[in-house]
Amino acid sequence: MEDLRATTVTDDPVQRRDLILLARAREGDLDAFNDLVVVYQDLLYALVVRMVPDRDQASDAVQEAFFSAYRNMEGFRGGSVRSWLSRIAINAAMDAQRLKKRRPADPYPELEDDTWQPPADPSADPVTTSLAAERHRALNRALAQITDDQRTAIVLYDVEGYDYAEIAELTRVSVGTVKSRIHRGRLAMRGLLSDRMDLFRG
Amino acid sequence: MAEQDRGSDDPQLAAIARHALHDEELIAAFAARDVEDAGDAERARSLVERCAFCRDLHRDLTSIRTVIRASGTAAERAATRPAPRDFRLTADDAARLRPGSPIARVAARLGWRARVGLGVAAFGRPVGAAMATFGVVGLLIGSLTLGGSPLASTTGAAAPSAAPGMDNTGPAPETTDNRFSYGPLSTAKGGVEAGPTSGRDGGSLSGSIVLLGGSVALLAGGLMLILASRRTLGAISTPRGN
Repeated sequence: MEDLRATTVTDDPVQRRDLILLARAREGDLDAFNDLVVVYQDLLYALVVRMVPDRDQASDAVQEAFFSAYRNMEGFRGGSVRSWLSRIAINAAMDAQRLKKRRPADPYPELEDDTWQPPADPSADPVTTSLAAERHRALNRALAQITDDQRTAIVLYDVEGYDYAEIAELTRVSVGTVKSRIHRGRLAMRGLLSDRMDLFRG
Repeated sequence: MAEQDRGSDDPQLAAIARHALHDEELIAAFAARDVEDAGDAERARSLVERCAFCRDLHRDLTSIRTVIRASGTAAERAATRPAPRDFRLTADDAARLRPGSPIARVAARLGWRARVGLGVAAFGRPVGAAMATFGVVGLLIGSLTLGGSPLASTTGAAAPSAAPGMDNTGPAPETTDNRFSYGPLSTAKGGVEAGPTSGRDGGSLSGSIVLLGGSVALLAGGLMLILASRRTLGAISTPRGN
């Protein structure tokens, strides 16, 4: 069996653990693969649900991502297991978006609730905290209403910190198209938030 | 009073009309510091400085970007919010998905046969029928062309003009002894001589033979395909265990 540790950085204990689990999974140890699932399922769901706001579709996409990862374990070429799984999940999310376009099944999807808030500053007063929560809810609603392509580009660039070239590679479009999607997406969000912009102007 | 109102609205309306011509996507790119071309950057800066609406747009887009960036990465969200269900794979999932599993190996080994079988079942009958039809037509044409030339040459029972497929537009025979000299025929001397059109007729003969051979092969292949399609369909429609 190929020793993945020989070709990758192993200083990071998390990465080393992931590589060992993946190596065991490649040898047929299902429990090892499921350990990876347990470690990363929350992360991948949190990533996918922002791209596919319908919770059921997001769950299906994450499940499909883990199926795909299991099927293609031999294709892992070293590096970060987390990045590898994230890329698979992003692809699964985009597939779910395409499927949704072809077969808009549920007219009343159960959208991801927006009760999650960024950690509040402990020193902030209640009014500030309340405004931040309201701003966050408005933002999520606007994000859910722009096009899938724009949302994907904005989430990957602004939230997850991928660069333009990485997003272009993941979404199989040019860097210029990625930039345009991000800019148009923000313009569309501004239009959707026109009556709530006071929340954002600080 | 109305005059006064109109007067106060006009500059506002004019500004809106002017702003409608401004490139908002350029302002969005400028707000994201994504304008690479120096000329475009200068144009965007000028719009933001001179147009109040562009200035508002720039400020709003910058604010939206800031808020989005602070809205929590997947890792931050995952730390406090678990996924709504367990995505671990079952043994059945693994057996179905793993390329190296016994089931997958058997499926891979039998896969091409199943695919061929399905292809035969789906297209065997129409393709076979078409092949058989071409075969029959080819046989007919081949037998006609083959029947024409040698008949004339070997028996001499038919005149050249009567033989199907014979070219009777050539030069007329000069003597009666030479009247059969159009094809690869036996002459009065008993030997085989090449007449004026013997090369062409030889080609026609071999062409006919090739046509006949090909037609027989097409007919046989078509019939076999039809039979195979019927057998495959029978195998598919037969319930398992019966």
